[in-house]
Amino acid sequence: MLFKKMLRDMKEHKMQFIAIFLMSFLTLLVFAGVGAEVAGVQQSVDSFYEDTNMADVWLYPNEINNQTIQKIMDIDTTDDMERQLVLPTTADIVDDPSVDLHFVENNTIAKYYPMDGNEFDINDEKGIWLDKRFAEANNLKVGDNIKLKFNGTSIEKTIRGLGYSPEYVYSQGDSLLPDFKMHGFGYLSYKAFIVDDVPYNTILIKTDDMDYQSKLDEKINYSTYLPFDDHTSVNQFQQELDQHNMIGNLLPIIFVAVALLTLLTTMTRIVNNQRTQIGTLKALGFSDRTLTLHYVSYGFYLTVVGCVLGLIIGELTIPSLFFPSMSAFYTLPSWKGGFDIKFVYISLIMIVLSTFFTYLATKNISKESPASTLMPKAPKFSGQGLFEKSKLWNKMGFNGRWNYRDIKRNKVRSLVTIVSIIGCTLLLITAFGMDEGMDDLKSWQYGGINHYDNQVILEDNVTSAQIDDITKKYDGTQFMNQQIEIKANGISQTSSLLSYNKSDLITPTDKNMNPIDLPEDGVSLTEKTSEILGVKKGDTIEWHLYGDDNWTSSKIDEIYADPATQGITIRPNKLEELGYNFTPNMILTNRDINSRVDGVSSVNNFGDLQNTWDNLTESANIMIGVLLLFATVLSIVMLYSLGVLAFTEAERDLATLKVVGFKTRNIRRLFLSQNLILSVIGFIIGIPIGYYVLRLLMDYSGSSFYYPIHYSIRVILIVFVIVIGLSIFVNLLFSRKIRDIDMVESLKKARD
Amino acid sequence: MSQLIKFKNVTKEYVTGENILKAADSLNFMIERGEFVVILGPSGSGKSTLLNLLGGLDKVTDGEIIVNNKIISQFNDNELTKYRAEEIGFIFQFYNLIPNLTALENIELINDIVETKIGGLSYLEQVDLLSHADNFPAELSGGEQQRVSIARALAKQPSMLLCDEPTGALDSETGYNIIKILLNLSKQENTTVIIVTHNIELSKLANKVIYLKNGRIDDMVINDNPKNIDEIEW
Repeated sequence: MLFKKMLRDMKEHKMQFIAIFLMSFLTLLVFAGVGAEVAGVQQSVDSFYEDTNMADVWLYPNEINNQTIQKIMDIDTTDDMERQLVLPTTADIVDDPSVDLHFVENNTIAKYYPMDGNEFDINDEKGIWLDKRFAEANNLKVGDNIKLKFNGTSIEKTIRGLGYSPEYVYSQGDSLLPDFKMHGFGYLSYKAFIVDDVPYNTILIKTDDMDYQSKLDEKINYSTYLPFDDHTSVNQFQQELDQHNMIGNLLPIIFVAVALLTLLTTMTRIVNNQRTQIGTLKALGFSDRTLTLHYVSYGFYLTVVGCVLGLIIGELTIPSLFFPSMSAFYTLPSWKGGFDIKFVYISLIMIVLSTFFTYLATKNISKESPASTLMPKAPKFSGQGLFEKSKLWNKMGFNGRWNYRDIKRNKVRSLVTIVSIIGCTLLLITAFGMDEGMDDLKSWQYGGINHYDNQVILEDNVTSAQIDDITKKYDGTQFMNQQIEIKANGISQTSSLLSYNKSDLITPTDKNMNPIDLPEDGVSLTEKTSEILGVKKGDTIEWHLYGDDNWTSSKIDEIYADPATQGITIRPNKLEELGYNFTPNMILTNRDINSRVDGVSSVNNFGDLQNTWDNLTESANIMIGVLLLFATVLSIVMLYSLGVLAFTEAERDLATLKVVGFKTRNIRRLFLSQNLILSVIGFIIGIPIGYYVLRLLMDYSGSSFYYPIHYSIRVILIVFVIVIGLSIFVNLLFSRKIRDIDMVESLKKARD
Repeated sequence: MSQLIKFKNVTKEYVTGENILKAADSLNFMIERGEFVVILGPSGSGKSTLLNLLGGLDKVTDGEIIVNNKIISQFNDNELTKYRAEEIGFIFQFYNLIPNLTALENIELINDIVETKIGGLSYLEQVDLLSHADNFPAELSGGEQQRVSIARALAKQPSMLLCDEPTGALDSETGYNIIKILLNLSKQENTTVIIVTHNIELSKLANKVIYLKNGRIDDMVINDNPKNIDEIEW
């Protein structure tokens, strides 16, 4: 019977219970949904690495000969090793895309993962196994021939198969974002190389030894030691998953807080309302325990149902929401959701917490004697605070006084309103901030910093005469971009060394996107790298080029910011002074240039790059849309259900006001002003929290990206308009209720 | 007749701030099984307090209450709950039905606390409300609600019915019918009925009348030949 009573009570307070249900539902929907995506993708990528026997270490020795091999094999913790020649080439097809070729010794470590066509054949001299996505983007099929140019020569091979590689889950190439048409990879047998003596440049190693590097240090010289976690593809993908994980863990906190507080207010209200009923049940002989259990079960059942549904629906729907945008950037053989036992734990915690909060609301049941429960509760005594004795109070109109006292007497309810609005503001700031950040990034990258039309990629064996020739003819700027490792404060970071002479084509900027001058005779570091390394202007960093194991110490003379490339910039003169050769691998120009020009490998047109960017950022809009939806649901559901609560509580007073002669308009204003005050408070608190969350999200977006985040008046204004707009909208829903207050009926009701 | 209830120097004090209010002041009386007892007195004389103490809704400050040879004034909360569930049927002035449960459900609610399950319909029949089994309290008149409340009290087969102004909110004819039901229960089923009321006429029907004033027993009358309900002015 008590169960029936509960169901009917819930029906009576349906708005509040829908709100509680929705919030616990959303908590698990987001948590388990995003969690399922992360877990599933993690499992997919892990099994991909497992299946392909992914390397634990990439080693780039100065020289690879039989002795090197022997020395590595001598290390007792070397489980296995394999040599590769990794060779950047240009495909001889439209747009001259770049293709990294891997000539492999036996395809045992970081194996090629075939999808179509034949299995990889180590004895095939004429075949190539190509990047499936690159092939699809360029309309290449199994059986086609492809010609690849490098160092002035070229090879032509027949495509034997299409597939994936664990080293190319994320591959950016020369563009700002992955572009499968412009960049791909291919795997070939060492027998397919032009000469018999393959000049291997990479060693892939399998080892479980955490301390492998120090053992290696004693044996051989090498330029670069790249452990699994630092591999660009591995690292970028992991950071992406971390970012999702963070969203999935952070968003639910808002919903949990709102759900628990709503539960507390609603249950307090119900228990107060049903005082006499509780007294009656006690008089009938129901024990305090039974009654407490009865009321606690309200929160229990709701959260159980909410959590279970959220978990199931989240599992089923959310992962597939992410996959289209994920697969636009990343390449995995399969995309599927996964399950993690922690979803169940979180559900249990949620259920325990809500049961506890309901208990808090109902614990008074057992405190009072049955006889006193049968009588109406004595009105709450609220003394006058300092503010109510101040002069300002005397000047305040009735509206202000009424609302002040109402908020003061309903602290928890007001708190829930504020927390809901904080949540709503936070979501909106994140959504619009992300949107604006994307736009900023584009205009910063393609307008603020870079003003050239074409990026001319030079061949590896280009001569300096050819470079000078092109530079002169096309009025270009020579540009060098090399991979380096930077170290400071015990943290080391793979990043880029840029070198070019001051030019109109590139305008360095600070983190506020204002143009700055880089020192001619110094080393400049990007903002993002300085944050990661924990260094500032005047500090010293150490760095070395990949392929050269000599470390150089440099003082940081300037900090600049760049959205897409992180590392250091040194002017060519200074670079030579430090003992390095200035070897440009790109020429930037505003003139049109044909890629057939001698020494040119390919040409990237900036218009094309921008289009690619636009296409790819569209997928981020899904995320923004989801955030907006959550914000709206949160705000409307919570404001409405709390409004209903406030309205029923105040109905008698409002009726009295009506009897006294207040106009409906005045009463509406009374209601509206309270909502607006609370909304504004929530909005103000929500802004810094929102920006903090945005910052967190952006920090998790990968170490090569730098998103500028600044308080934008435009975003804050939009959010303000939406928050206040929603608040007014919800208030309009109450207009009718206020007009229809039945004075006689309301006044007859007993006061709670 | 056997002795059912005994009050020995029962005192109940309420402390509000510095004021001590003696709602019951050294009450001494006995009630026998099957008696129809009326408790009279002005507002604030301690009638409801007496009923609450007897019904185990409140605890004494001093003295002893013995029911069925058990000293219930020494019971702890759990024992009191069991006592209420097994021995007492309450009937309130404002019926106190659970608004969200139908008439029948209000009665079968008892099944959650008693060991032998009951069927609510026979009790509804006893108060002549079979046709209203599926109505919610709000759909019933005051008299009908009070009859449901009596049926609910009876369903527990209590040793005594404690009625706090059972007719206070009813018109005279409906009130008459309610009293008639209670009287019949006392006579035919040997149920002890204790009624707190303002209505002096009821005292003519009682075996025993206790007059209260300022928490004390002002007078106690034993009526060997109570009048029949048809004989009194209503």
